[in-house]
Amino acid sequence: MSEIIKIRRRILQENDHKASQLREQFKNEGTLVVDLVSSPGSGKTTLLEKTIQHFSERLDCAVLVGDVATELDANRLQAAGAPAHQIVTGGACHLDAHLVAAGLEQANFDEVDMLFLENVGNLVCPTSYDLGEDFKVVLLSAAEGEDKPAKYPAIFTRAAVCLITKSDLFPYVDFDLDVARQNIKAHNPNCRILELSAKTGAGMDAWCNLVKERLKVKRTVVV
Amino acid sequence: MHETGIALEVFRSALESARAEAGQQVRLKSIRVSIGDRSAVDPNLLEHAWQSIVIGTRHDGAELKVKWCPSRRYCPSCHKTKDSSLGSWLPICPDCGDAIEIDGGLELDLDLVEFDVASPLTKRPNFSRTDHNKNV
Ligand SMILES: Nc1nc2c(ncn2[C@@H]2O[C@H](COP(=O)(O)OP(=O)(O)OP(=O)(O)O)[C@@H](O)[C@H]2O)c(=O)[nH]1
Ligand SMILES: [Mg+2]
Ligand SMILES: [Zn+2]
Repeated sequence: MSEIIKIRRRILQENDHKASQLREQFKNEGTLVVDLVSSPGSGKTTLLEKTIQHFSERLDCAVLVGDVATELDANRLQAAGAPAHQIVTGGACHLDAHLVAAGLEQANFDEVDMLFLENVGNLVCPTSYDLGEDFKVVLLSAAEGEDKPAKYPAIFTRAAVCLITKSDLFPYVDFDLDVARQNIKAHNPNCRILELSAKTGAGMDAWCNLVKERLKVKRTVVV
Repeated sequence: MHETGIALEVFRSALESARAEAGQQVRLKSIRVSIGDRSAVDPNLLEHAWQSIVIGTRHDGAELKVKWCPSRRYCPSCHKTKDSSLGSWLPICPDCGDAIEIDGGLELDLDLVEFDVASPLTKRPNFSRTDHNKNV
């Protein structure tokens, strides 16, 4: 005997449900949560090291960092002065809301002003997963080429901010900044685009001001 | 390759729904999902992932049917609806270059589950919360 039942539910309903719980929790705690996504090696950890140092005296930051293997990134971030916890995904190519919730439980951070989620290096898979963040940031490093927004459009469509990183390399890699900007804007006209170099510090102030502003807005909006 | 994780989630919730309806002895027969063209999920990869999940279990042979859902793209300058097969990601009219309005295409839904209420368990499907995230 065979039966058919209608379901009509989001496939990622459980993830979305967990993400809403996290978002509510972050709202109550007044914590700004930023999800950083990029291909491997675009400079997420380096950016966070410098961001943590920038805010060290003024704001409390913490980082949950996802990698397929090793605790290297969490060690680097701790050395930079912030509580950091490594989520070793053991194969998964992205963070999901359950991994973030479990990571937070294990990390047991004190309440912080800003929580950064460094996603697993991957431009495709993290796109579909809501982590309860305030916004997603996509990093595009100079050496990757300006065509990446056209080739991996989904994440560029959904990120609120795009950071063009390693700007100190522009002269060496023939990176066409105008084309890169056009490619990003074509997919996402509302995307904030900033260029920076975590190495030289160029553009870091603009990035840090952006997150600080977003934190301020989050805390003044009374819902 | 997050399609594996998505397929596992489909499998888990389809089985849960079927069992809630007809008990533990159900055997999945066919599942229908809706996938939008802007959902960042590849339907072929999803079907492959599905096959690798059900193979060798009592649900071996269960079919995953994907209903492909193109986004609706309308150009207010041309007053026309545009073909969504071409560069669906760009919110730009392929004819006049103006900004177009895009609607839909974000579907990622489990729609229908068809199952048999049949023979006793031969082999347990291998899934758990941690396995959901083991992608290849
Ligand atoms: N020249 C230059 N190199 C940089 C910059 N930022 C990062 N790098 C280098 O790029 C490499 C990768 O940087 P990471 O910060 O580890 O990149 P990631 O995105 O965290 O990498 P995964 O976590 O493995 O995905 C390292 O060798 C960094 O030193 C920069 O602004 N300029
Ligand atoms: Mg890193
Ligand atoms: Zn037009």
